[in-house]
Amino acid sequence: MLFPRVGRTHPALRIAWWATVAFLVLGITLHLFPFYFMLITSFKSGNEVLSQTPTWWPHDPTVAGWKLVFDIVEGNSAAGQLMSEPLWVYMWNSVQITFWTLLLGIPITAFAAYANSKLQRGRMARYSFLFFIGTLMMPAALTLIPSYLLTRNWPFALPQAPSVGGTELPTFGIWNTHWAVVLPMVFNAFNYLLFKGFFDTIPDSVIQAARVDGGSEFNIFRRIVLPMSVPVFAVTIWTSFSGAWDQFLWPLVVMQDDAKMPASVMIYQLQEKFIQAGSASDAEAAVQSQQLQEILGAGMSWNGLMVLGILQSIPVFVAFIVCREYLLRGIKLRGLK
Amino acid sequence: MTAIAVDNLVKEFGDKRAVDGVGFTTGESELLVLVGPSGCGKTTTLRMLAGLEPVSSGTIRFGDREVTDVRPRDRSIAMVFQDYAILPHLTVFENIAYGLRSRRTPRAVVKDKVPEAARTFRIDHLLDRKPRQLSGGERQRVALSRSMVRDADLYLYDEPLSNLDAQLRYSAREDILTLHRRKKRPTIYVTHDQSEAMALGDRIAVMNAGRIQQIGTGEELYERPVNRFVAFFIGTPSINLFTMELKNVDGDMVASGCGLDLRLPESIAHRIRAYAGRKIELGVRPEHLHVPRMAPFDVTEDNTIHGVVTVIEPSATGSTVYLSTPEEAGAEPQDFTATFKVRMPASYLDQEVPLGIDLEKVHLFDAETGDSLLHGPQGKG
Amino acid sequence: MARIEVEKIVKRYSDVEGVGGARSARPALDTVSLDIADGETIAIVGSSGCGKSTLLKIVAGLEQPDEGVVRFDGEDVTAVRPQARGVGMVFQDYALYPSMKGKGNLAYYFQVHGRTEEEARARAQETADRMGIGFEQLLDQSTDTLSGGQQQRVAIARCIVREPRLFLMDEPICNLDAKLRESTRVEIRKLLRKFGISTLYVTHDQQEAVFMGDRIAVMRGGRIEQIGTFDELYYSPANLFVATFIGSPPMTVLPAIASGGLLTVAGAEWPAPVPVPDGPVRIGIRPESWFTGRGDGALMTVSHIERIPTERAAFVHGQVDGVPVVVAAPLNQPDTAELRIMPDMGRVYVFAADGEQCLHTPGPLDLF
Repeated sequence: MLFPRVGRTHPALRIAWWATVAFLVLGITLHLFPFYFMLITSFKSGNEVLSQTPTWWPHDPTVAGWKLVFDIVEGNSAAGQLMSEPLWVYMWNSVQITFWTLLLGIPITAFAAYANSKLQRGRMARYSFLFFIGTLMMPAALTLIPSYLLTRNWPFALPQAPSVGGTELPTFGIWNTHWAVVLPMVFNAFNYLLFKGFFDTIPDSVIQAARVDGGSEFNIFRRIVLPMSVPVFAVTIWTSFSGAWDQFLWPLVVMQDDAKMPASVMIYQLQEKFIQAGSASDAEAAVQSQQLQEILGAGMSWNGLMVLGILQSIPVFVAFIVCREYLLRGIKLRGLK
Repeated sequence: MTAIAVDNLVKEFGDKRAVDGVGFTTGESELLVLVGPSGCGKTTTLRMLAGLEPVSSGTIRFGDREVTDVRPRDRSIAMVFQDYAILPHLTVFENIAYGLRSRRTPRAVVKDKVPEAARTFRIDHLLDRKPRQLSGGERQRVALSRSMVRDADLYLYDEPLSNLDAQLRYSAREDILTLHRRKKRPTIYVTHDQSEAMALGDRIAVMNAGRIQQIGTGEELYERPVNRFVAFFIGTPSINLFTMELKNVDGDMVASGCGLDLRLPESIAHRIRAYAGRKIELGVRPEHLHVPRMAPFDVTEDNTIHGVVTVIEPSATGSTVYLSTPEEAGAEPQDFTATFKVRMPASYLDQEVPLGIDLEKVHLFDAETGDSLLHGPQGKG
Repeated sequence: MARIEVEKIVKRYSDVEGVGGARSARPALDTVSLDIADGETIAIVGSSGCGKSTLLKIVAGLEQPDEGVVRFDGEDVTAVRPQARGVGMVFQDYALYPSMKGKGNLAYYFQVHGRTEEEARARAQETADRMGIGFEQLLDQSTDTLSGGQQQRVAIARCIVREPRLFLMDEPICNLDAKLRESTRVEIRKLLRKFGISTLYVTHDQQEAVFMGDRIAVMRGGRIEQIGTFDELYYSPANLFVATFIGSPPMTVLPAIASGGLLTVAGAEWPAPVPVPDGPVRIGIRPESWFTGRGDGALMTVSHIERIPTERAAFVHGQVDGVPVVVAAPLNQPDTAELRIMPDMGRVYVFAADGEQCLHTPGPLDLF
């Protein structure tokens, strides 16, 4: 507790109190501003979006951006040609990837954490915990190439055994499929940490009581532990969901066909086209101005991109609202991040 | 002189009154024990005294100074918590010194006082250790040392012994009394254990349901409880309570019920004639049940209770016997307890035995309100 | 119902976590043997960390012993999983399943054993009747709304409902209020007597152990120091540790010099109760075995008098020659700064000057 609960009329405390309130209000405003700007930009006209002094609210509200986006989703008219497939294809890809990531990832991570927390003991428990948590310390950039090789030659890193020249290993080509995106995300060290932290707070005696009562280990997990762990599941499901939904770099690396890309990548690429226009060398500038021409020709501008951004964030919002009740409890329970 | 005066203290959590009008005063060097079952508001009262919990209404005064709205650090109190509240990252020395350092005490004084306090509680060899290397008893003595180095206006204890093994409690009680006798300052001690309260308190306040039921010395509470709750709470094993009806039989007051007809002696009867026909509860202390042959009074039909022995607990000085009134007595079997100064052989298990009730020493309570019919709140009678 | 034999159990923890995180070479249980007769209650008492809970878990099958055998009715169950041992266990923190109501807690056993719901309900009903008045309401409540005492009752009912061969209780009432503890222990004792199920009852409170156990096992440092009835432990302790552990307030132990049939203690000379070889010894005197106000007693400086009206007694605390002494006295003992005290020499324990060996114990009290 930051403030003592008695003696708040003390002058020093009062000043500190209001200073804290002011600081928090400032923080909240700064956080909410991008969302506000995104929303109003989506209702601006193309000209207003590009005007030099940004406007704080749409002077001339229009839903042109929104209309345009529905063309992109459907994949028809000129705007629809900005992407090689209709947007709903990409959205559907995102849904599939997210679905499998959650369906496989949450139980596997939860089981791993439970086993470490309640079934392993002594030194082994500590080492396996450190091993899994160690993956958190590895920067993503470092694992990018090895992971890439793994997905190419799943389940091996190389196509041939290097010592036995020319021996082909039986590999599965999961590269350029959704599995290449899903499988590396199945174990999530951060979720593992959350689960483990929570399971550690469950008294051993409850599990021992269930054992004496005759429950099998899986039954104990399902009947006793799972109902207690709803908050931590809400937290992990939500973080996994937003992580899987919004991921960018990894799908870009392992996916070749545009038709298999998740929406996050495609929207980002569309954005890139705007940002890079005019900021590159002459030769590139020619190509880019050509692209920009296409976009603008389709009547697309930042307002449309903002709409795409909003569409992309809606599922994360919905997931948050669904999990909110439990999430808040979960945050109170453990302190998130 | 009055050192601490608490007046009409109320604490509400939502619409629940945890403390409901508590008031008391303590003497300059008095140790007052607040005792009651869990949830009776005793710890909340203590936390309000410490300033950890704002009061809903009422006042707290330390001497001439009202401190109701003063924050804890300006109140000059020292407190020992149930879990000792020892800072795990500091050494024992730093833990003891913490209260002094945070009040900008000169370094030389700290160097002086800390080892001295540690010596008093036999932990001077542990000053460099970290708390996790200490046993429960040692941690408790660190907490006491921390209070010892302070010169506070008020010393507070929140169930400091409840996490200790039974055998350690005796020496820990001695340590607490040592501290109290050195400081000679008002001390409030909270516990749920009435025997601890009896051993430590100059006076004891019995709390229940957010109110103080009775304040007095241990003997007063035991001999003259003002209501059923105090009578039941003080004393172990607990007082036996029998729900009965008072009857006026030819001028004699007779309590009947539970298969018993007890003719009350004149010393009690003359004070309760007005209650004839009312429901009462008759309280008998376990020590006032006697084996007929050894009873210091005549055991007749008018003061005998029969019981089947269910458990015999041996002790060094005698035995505690748990009995049940026999089934055929015309009422639900009722459990009661008797303590004897002699050892009861195990062969009496499951036997029915007659016991004489010392009717001069019974307590009578109104069955509805629970108030004593013999001892009023002002100690009359 | 069963006869339980625990034979030469040794348990070592490879990785001792706890005080200081120090690795200790000492096993948690060191060759512990124990027999529980059919229907008997054995109370295991010891201070925290003495291995009493570990022993209980080994009997339950929750821990594997490194050496030794556990037998139920002569059948070796050392390798049998806890799920199949058919024991009922009550934990210190009650360990109710928090996501279930009271009912669900009782029904869990029947569900995992594939019994019918009717049977579960009938047995729950039967148990509720046995547990006494007001118990049925508890079954319909979710467990986190119950008070400590109520949770404890549900936990015990969860144990009884399936008629276990053996009851294991791990400090079941130590989290309760003092007053509640008093009534709960009577209730548990009566239930145990009623069902006649063999029971291991673990506690750190010697009074509770005395109350609960038909026999009491005193443990220290992974070993059982002595098993016996209260009288055996109290009047004929196996060593100094048991002598000081049983009895409250604890026994006073004073250093003494024996010479020629006399014991010299703090300047006073008392006849030795039995022939003692000359040299230093220690004598133990229980609080109730002191005579006060005798001319030939030792001088005791009184620090304070603890009057306990509820027990019609007072305890005089003080020191003899710097050793803390407790003397039982009548309630009206006058306040004095000093007191002459002398032990009832027939009730004195004699111990070796070093080590814990008992040289003499008074044996059972003989009143007449």
